[in-house]
Amino acid sequence: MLKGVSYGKFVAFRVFLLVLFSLPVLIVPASPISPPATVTTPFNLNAQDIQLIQVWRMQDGDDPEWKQPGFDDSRWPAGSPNRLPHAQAGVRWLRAHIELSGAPNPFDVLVLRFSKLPVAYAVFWDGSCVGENGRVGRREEDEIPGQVAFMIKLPRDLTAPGSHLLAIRYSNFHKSLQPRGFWAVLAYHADWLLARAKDMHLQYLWLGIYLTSTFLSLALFLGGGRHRAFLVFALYSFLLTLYLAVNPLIEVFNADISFSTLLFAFRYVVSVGAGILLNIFFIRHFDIPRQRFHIPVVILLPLLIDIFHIRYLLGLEWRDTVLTGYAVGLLVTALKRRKAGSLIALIGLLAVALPALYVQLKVIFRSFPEPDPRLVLLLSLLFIPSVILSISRQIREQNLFYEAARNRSQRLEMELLKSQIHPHFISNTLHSAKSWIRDDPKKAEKLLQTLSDELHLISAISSRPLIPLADEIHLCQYHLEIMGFRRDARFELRTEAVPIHEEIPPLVLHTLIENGLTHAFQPRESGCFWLRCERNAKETVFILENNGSRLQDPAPENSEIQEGLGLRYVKARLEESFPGRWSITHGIDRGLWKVTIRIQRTVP
Amino acid sequence: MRLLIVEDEYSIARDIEYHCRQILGDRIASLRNIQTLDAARDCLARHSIDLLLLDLNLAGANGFELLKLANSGSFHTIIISGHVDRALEAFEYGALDFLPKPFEPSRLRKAFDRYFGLPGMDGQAVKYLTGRKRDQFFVVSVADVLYFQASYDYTEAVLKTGKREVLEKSLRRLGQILPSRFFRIHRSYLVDIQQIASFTPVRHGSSRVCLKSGEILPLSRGRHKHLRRILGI
Repeated sequence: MLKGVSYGKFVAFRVFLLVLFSLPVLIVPASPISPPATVTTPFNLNAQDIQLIQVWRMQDGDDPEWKQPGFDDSRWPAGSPNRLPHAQAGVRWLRAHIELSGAPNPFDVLVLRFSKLPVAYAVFWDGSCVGENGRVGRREEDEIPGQVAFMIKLPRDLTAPGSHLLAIRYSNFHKSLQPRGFWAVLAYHADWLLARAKDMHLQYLWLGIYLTSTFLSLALFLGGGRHRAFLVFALYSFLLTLYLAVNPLIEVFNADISFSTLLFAFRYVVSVGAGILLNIFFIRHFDIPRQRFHIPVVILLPLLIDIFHIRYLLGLEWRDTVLTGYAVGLLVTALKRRKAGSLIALIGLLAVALPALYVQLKVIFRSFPEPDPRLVLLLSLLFIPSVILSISRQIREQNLFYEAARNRSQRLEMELLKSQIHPHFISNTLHSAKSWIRDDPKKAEKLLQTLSDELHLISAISSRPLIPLADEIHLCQYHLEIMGFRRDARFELRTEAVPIHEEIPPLVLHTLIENGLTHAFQPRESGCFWLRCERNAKETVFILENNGSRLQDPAPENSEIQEGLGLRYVKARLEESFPGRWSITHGIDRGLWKVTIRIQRTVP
Repeated sequence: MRLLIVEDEYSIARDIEYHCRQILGDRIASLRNIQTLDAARDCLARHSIDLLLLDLNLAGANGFELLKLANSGSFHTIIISGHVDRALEAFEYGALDFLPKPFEPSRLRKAFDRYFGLPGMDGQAVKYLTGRKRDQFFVVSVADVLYFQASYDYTEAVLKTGKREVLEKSLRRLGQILPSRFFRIHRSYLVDIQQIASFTPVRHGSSRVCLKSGEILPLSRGRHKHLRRILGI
């Protein structure tokens, strides 16, 4: 009951997490894209800002008048070009009003930097053309695609303090799938290059981390038991390495804008894939229950979110946020189940996830203070080391587990030997033989022969975890014969439809027969055991019955008898060979004492 | 002599019976051979016996309880078992002897000698005595006993605490299994000599033993000389 309550609470916590991380996705579509308060982008010529030009006026169509600062664009819709559909081919205009203030720096020029605006465009500053990326055309034949990234230096005489107009004429006939994530910045050239360099250093740092992580995980996979979780993590790291390698490649090869479509698709696949792989890695690494539910969910979730995105034209980061939130939920599950290394991995993930969530929430709640970028960076650097530490914890745990399993297996072997070569068993048998020597020497000879046969067979099989059923049946028959001599009775084991090549742990049936002899039969009572086997696609069922008279009346002590030492051995052996896939039941059925062992087949 | 053999494996039971008859011959007044412990309990409730030959699976959970049951009776018990490693425990709980399986006939003869009061096995002596009060077993540690006093067919153990416990075994049979420091000072008294503080010389045909606890017990004339010799006076 208690367990149920806490589980309920736990589910509620998981739902809370998912809602928390999905919050941005849930809230943003609900609020309509509101026009910003001001349509003018300010820029202080005295500062060293990298100014993002976020607010544009947009209009379909083409008119040379639209490049003029005097044109009244107040009726054009305002916003970010990223929020408008680009699917339709055509010629369009963008206009941004820029207010320069302060004194110009005499040693540097201002630059405009554009990225990912489809497909070709011409840039006008105060009505005059300052640069062209590709060639804008009215038809596909006329259009020449430009580069992904494009920079224009503005002559110093054009950037006097005051109001200025930035107009862009662009066309997108070439590609139906357009690059997303257009941005434009205004900055002094030197400041821009410095910021760019810092950004690049950071990217190379990440590139190195992920590359190392790729090879480390791959080495763990190849060298350490081929756990698929490590392969998944290697793939995750590799995808992120590729993702980070793209930007330098664009710079080096001056990539064409048509190439950017391919790039967009590639980066899309890589980022979605990495998010999914990270979740699958956690699911497998921490052996999260109900994998058949979680794995499809983490694959479908980002795709569903993206369909949602295309509808509502949101930034792509929401998807990553939701996937991260899901991963946090998985790690909380692992922590709850006390999986080794789950706490470290969770701390590492939260160090990345919480700043990311904060940044996302800041888009909605603009009043949130700006996070310290150095802190965010330091926190995010924790992630990969924490996962690697978590992996090493798990490996250690597994080693301990294997060691324990090996010890258990050795102990079972000892128990097996003790139960049969135990002095008690031998001395009783010898005593019986002594008695028979006097009364019937032939029987004594037969008894001693059977005893030595049994001991030979036991020493041959004792070290093996599984033996053919045929050997086990032989052992049982020897034992029954010996006990027959000792008790001056006759016991038989009859088999029916038994797959003699099927393998079972040694002395399991033997132990059950021994129990049966001790508890089910009166002294000197003869009887019979029957072994049947039923096999179907799902499981193999062994049914062992005996017709002993003592267990026929369901006296209370009988249940307790069955939980004796012998049954513990049987259960331990079954668990060793068929972990979690077996069951054993016993009871009276149609006047016979019946033990049923079910062993589920493994999924091939 | 009335014997009861309890052994669940018939071939072995037959062997024990055979050897008993070989050794004891005419001295056997009755011999019963029973295979289950339940039947043995019934038999003991209805018939009185002198010696129980018990096969005990001491490895089982209830082997210990059975040992107490056997040793709480007025009769002597010889344990016959394959569990040689548990022999010491059998002695501690009051078995007259312990025979490992398979036994030699001469070893069985020695056990019977012990029963008849002849010197048998040395060194092993009972450490605990078992009694029964309303079907509940209780265990008395021999180390806690001051002296034993005969009381009709039973024996009372007088403990150092002053408490008295009734045991079913006669004073004579207790004497056979108790450590040698217990000395028969009188027909009705068996005393731990380490507890004797002083004793008076024989006067007017009687004498007294004074215990460290202050109790005074009678000392019979015949035992007086014996006691002096043991104490080295």
